[in-house]
Amino acid sequence: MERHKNNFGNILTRFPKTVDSQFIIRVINNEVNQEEKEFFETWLHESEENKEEFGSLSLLWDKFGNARVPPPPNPELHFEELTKTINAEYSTSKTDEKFEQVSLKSSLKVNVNKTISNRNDYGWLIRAASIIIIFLTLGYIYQNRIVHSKQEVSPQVVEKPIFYTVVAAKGEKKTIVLSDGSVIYLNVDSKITYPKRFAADSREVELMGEAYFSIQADKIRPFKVISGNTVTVVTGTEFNILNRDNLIRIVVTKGSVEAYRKHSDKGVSLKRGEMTTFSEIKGFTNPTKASVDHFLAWRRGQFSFSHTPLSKVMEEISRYYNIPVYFERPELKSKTITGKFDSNSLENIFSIISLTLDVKINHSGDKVLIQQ
Amino acid sequence: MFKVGTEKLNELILGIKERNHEAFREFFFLFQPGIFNYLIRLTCDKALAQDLTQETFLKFWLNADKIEISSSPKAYLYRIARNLALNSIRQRHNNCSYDEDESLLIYFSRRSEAEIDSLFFMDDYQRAVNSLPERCKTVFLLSRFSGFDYSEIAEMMEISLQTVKNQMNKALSVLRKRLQSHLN
Repeated sequence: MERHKNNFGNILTRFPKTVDSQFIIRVINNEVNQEEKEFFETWLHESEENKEEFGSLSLLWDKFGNARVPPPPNPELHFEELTKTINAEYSTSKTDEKFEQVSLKSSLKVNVNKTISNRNDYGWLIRAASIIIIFLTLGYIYQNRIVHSKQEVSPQVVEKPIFYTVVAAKGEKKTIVLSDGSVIYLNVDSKITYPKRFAADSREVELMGEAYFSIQADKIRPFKVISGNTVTVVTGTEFNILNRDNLIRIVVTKGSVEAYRKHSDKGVSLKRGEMTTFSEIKGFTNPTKASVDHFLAWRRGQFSFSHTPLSKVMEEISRYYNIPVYFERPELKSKTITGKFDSNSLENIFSIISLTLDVKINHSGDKVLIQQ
Repeated sequence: MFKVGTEKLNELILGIKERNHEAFREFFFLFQPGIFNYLIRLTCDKALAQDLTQETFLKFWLNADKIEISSSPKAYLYRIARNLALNSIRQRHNNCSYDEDESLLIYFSRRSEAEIDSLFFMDDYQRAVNSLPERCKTVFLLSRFSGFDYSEIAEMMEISLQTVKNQMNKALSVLRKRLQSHLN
């Protein structure tokens, strides 16, 4: 009798009077007990409406799984910053509580030990995490060395920074992931130089040619792109820089950037969707609304031309396919083209151009000849 | 969604209480992605989420002696994160008082579009979640992305189980309406 009563009370508090959305989510999350499960199943088979209700909620729940959020910051660096804060917190009070920078050797050893000793139910996770930690630690070793050398070694000794240069030759594009997680998409016939590790107060890279930058936010270390005589400064945003034939063009697709002339504080601020061009004589133009679609066509594998002279069009094509182009008569160079072309079919582009401009494009072997 | 074994977690918490740095480090690595994820969805501000993640762990470390193993340390960590997020949102527009039940969208509407978009990529799903009142949003986020069950959410937010259920129903009905076109 007593037991029966308890059971009954239990059911009353746990069961909803009807199956509502929150209950269905509990079912989806597998948080229901056997009784509740049976209660739900009976409900489910009561009507088509109920099945639809369940279906649409599961779909909604599921769809949120694909929602995009930025990845968390590099845990190793993030933790390092945290320990600095903790040390700062303690430096005013208890110095003995200071958070030691975990020495690299010991931290590696600890992680390896963990990998071996974990054989329980969450072992795979810890193992995966340990492997990640080991990899991150390897990165950390290098960084630590620089930091330590700066702090502990006498000031005369300066660690020589290591620079990498990545070249995308004609006909090839490259993607570079920097140590801070920023990504650079290098267009054909372009070059980027960056340090293996960024300095503590800024992140500087140098660009020739064209690249699209997707920069991780870091207020403490602004990101600077040096290109020709310009410096573009951002904290965390996305933008495109083109530097060819003495013309530099900056197009911002996300956030905002500041662009300066080198060794000067003269510059412009650009917001999302704006562009500026820089030339040695005129400096920066005032920011104007940019046709982002047009300027970033290369990222989608397209050529986008707008009243572009054939000479420029062919220059571009020559860069993408690494083939020389010759004009039989110079006046052909000034004919103009407008339109978008997929850059994966050269023959297709040529046939459209030759039809619209009424020229002959002779593509034989490893060169292109344009004739009337 | 991962669940850390209770035994392992208790071991780490004991370590942290004894000021063991290695335990704290491991604890950070386990929960940093989840806390960051939670904060970025709550604040929609990447740089802010990054700062608040650090602050959350800092508070946890400094208050470790107050943590009781018997209660859920994970819930405690998430509670710190939420309080920090709410405080920082309140501070940001202290002139116009921030009502807990006010939609976060109003908060966002006071910031420029470029500012928001630079924070991170907003899709329809994130926008829909943002349109929820704060409490409703938090319940939804904790249930969908942080792997808490309803009773844990109730404990964490210091509200009744029934309130969690009500908020969940409310969240789901708003989200369904807003995202109808995506669900066909």
